[in-house]
Amino acid sequence: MMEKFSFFTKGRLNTKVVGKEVVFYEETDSTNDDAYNLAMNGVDEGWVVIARNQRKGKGSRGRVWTSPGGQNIYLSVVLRPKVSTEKASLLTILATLAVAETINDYISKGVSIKWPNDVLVSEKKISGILLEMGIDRNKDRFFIVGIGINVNSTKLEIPTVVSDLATSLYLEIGYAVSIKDVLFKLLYRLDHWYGKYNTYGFEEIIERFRAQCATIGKTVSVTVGESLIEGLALGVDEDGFLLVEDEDSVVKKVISGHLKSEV
Amino acid sequence: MNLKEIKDIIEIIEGTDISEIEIERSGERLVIKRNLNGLADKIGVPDKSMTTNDAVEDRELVAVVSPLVGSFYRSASPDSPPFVEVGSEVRKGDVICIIESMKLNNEIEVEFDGIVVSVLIENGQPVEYGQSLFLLEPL
Repeated sequence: MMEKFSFFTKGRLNTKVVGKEVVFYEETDSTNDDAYNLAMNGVDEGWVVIARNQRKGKGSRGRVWTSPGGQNIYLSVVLRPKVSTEKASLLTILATLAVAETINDYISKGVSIKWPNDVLVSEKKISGILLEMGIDRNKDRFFIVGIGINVNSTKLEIPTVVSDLATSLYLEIGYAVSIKDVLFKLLYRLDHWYGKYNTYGFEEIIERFRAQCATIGKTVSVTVGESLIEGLALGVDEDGFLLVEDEDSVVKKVISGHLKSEV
Repeated sequence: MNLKEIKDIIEIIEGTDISEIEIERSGERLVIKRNLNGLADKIGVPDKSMTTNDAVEDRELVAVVSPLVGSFYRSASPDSPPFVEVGSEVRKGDVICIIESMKLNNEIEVEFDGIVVSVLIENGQPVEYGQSLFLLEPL
């Protein structure tokens, strides 16, 4: 049975910011692009775009986020935090924590975070998070938090090239769950942590993130441009950056790049 | 003083607190003023002779600097063309590059009309806060 997501558009969410207004599409090119356009036109923070199906779901660096229709969650949130540019990437940490906790509601064991934005179940990727920043027509800065979660995707719907690397809630627990229910939990979690950030800053969010981050304590290799950083992941600092100690005992800050870790 | 030398000087002062530097050599004078809190560095490259009174051609280049640490990308995706090339004319508000930090894509816009004179960073390389990314000649 197809669930009616229009439920969320009727103001039924009791959140403070996230989901105050919800736009729902049966199908769209990309919820991130839709949210970006709304933000450019000046909508308040907390607007959410949800789609049942994406034709051109956006992944990182222009990659496509595979978006089979009706089975999964594709949503994008407009936020307008008064955060400094240097701290803005901590919104990635916030969103990843909210997704990991949502997955945790269904799966109690084996859920972990791969720094900075992947939620893994038994080492397989179950979600994707992509953030974008822009400046609207009033010259105000905004952020788009795009989240995809594989909810009821079957093995056939996960592309074979990534079938060893990707999974869904359905594949992990063996039965289909209500997408509406997952959306509810996710929107409340995002709202909860965004509220915490607005009142107290990022401190508790980083602490919780560290507790779930399986990258810490592992030997990692990170490709940044043409250089490679290899060593032991010591932790995540107050800016959300990964601290890696190389074989010369030099601690390096990793801000971006492609990360591989030894299991 | 050629572009390579100017680039080298920029590299040397980056990561320092130096906000202004003036170098005079063989009748050429280079003045670099860095606005460490802002987005643009003004770099005066006057071909000005201090020893003669030749006609002065002041060619002022302005650097677009990175507002944050992250990875520098010249295009929206590996398959798409760069936002700008050397010689491109850009208008205020045009996206010139992306700085990615922890999967947050920051589209960097130019704050004035100009022509791209030089791209200082290779695609995909890490950049520091305040690091110069492009040299533009304002229009």
